[in-house]
Parts: sequence; structure tokens; C-alpha cells
Amino acid sequence: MSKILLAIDTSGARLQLALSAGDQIDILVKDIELGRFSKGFAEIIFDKIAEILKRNDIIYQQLERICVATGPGSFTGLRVGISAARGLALGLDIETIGIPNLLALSLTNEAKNFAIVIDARRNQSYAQNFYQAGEPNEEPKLLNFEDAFEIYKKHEFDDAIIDMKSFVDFGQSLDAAKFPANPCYVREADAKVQSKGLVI
Amino acid sequence: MKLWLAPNGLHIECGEVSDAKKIAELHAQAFYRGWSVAEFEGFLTNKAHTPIFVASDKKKSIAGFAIIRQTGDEAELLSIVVAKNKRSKGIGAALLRAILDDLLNTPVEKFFLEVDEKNYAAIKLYKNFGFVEIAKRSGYYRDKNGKKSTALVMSLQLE
Repeated sequence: MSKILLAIDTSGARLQLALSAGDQIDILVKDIELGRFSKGFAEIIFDKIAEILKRNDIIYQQLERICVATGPGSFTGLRVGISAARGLALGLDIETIGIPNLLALSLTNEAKNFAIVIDARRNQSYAQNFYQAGEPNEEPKLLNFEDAFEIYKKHEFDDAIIDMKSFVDFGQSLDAAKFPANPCYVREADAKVQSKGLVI
Repeated sequence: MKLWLAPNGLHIECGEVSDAKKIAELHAQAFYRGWSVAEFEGFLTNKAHTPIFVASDKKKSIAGFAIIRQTGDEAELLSIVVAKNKRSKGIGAALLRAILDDLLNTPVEKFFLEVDEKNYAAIKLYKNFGFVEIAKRSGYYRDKNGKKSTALVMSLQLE
């Protein structure tokens, strides 16, 4: 019997939620807008969680597991999504499962020995090799995109949007101890001083 | 590479070193002391720290640009310019939206800028994006006649 599971993805420019109960999966997607009159992840996430629970006649206390995308992706989004997941799980005394984004993106690929390379902006990319869907054979890396395309024999970036159905299915069986809900930024906050001085 | 749509059939993308000359020309039109082509080339080669967001048409004619400097969890708007004949079309707002979208993928949590306290149009734009005034620097700007003016320091929390 599958668990009643809530999945949260705040790693991109949209909030993705999925609720799995019995053999049903419901998915709710909401684009995030930028600017003063818009609402960011922090403002909408709990309203949207309430909405997806309500329309499936599930209450918080019935949730058995929360899965959250851990990045790399939007730093702000990851902070909000992971905090929400951990806070809810703590209050409900249930498990959280953190699933890194590149691993999540691998789940819809039916090939053997493939790489996922996504746009990290500013000429960079996040890249990771997989034996097969859900089975990485290296840690995710930050590379210049030209280097990544050459190393992984790619001509363009892979789509960076997580398929929530495969995300939920994958999250059902994972061991919480092996998949902690910690952010996986890959690109760390670096505060190094520039070598060339700026005349400003 | 990531592209953002902008009004008037323009699009915004991260500038390349080959754009330095056009960017410097546009900057010199807008500011009394323009930065040199070499300075812009320096910024453009260091995309991780000083990316330049360029609004251009299909023929690569540049209508505006914005440059930021990013250090750790903070970023600063170093300069933003829209060509005189392209103003009041929402290009500045489109540049800011592109920057904010781009910053989502970085560790930046706080975004700062300085603006002349008499530049009402720009201040209104920044306030619309949620920037709030946090300080003043009197005599910060100086025009070609040596006249000084005050800068407002504004900041935006990226949450």
C-alpha cells in the first residue's frame, strides 16, 4: 500500500505540489511572479498545500511522508520549500525525503548510461551522469556549459522541470536516512574577492 | 542560453565581450563620466560576478542594458541604461525582471542600488519592484557642471 505523500518542488520559477493518496496522484502547479505586487514561494506555499489537500479530502494529520526537491535550483525557492517540508514533518511527526533535482530529472529517462545537463545560467551548467534512471554514478557538478556539452556529448540543455508523477513514485520507496531534506546548492555562496579591481 | 522577452520586440540576454563597444557607447550617452570599452570588456569576461543583461533586437542593436555585481549573498545594480529614444516603454522594468529571475539561481539574498534622488521615474520603478530606501549619500553624484546631487540607497530582500 502506497503512503499518503505530499511532494514539494520550489527549485524553479514555479511551485509544483503533488499529492499521492491510494492510486491517485493530484498535481498543482503555480507560476511565481517577480515584483512588488507578486507573491513569492513563501507567501503562497501554505495556501497551495491547503488547496491540494482540501480538493483531495485529505487533512494534514493523514500525511505519512513529505518529499522535497533539494536542488540545485532557485536558492530562495529551495530555502522556502525545504523549510516548509521540514517544519510540516516535524509538526506531524512524519518523515521528510530530500530528492536532488538532477536525480529527479533522471527518473523519466529510459536510457542506460546517460547524463543530465541543465542550465545554471551565466554560461554554467549543472551536470551528472547516471547508470540509469534514479541511479547516479557521480556527484552533481558545476561546469562551464561548453565543457559540460563536450564531456557529456550534448548539444543542448535538458529540460529542468521535474516530472512530479515520477518524483512521487520514486519518493514512496526511499529510505529517509539516505535521502535527508538538506539543500543541494552545488554552486556554493562564494564571497571571494575579485582579482581585478573595479574602478567604480 | 537563457533569453527573456522584453517590450517592443526586444529580448534580453547575458552580454558577451563582443558587445562591450556598443554598451560603452550607450553608457556614455547616459552618464557624464562613461566607462571605457576596456572596463566593460572586463565586466563581460567575469560573468559570474559582473554579468551584463542586454536588451537588443534581432539585429543585435542594443536598446538598453543593466550590469550587476554579485558577491556572496549580496548583489548591487552598478548601472542601468535605456537609450533615450527607447525610454518609457517598459524596457527598464524588463531588465530588472530578468535580473531578479537570474538572481533566483544564485546565493544572493539582498539586492542594492543607488539612484539620484531627483530621478523620480527610476525611483518609482524601483519602488514598484519592492525596493525600499535605506540610506542617503549626499553629494554622491556630480554632473558635468560640477553640480552635486544626493543618492538614495535602496535595497530589496529576495524572498
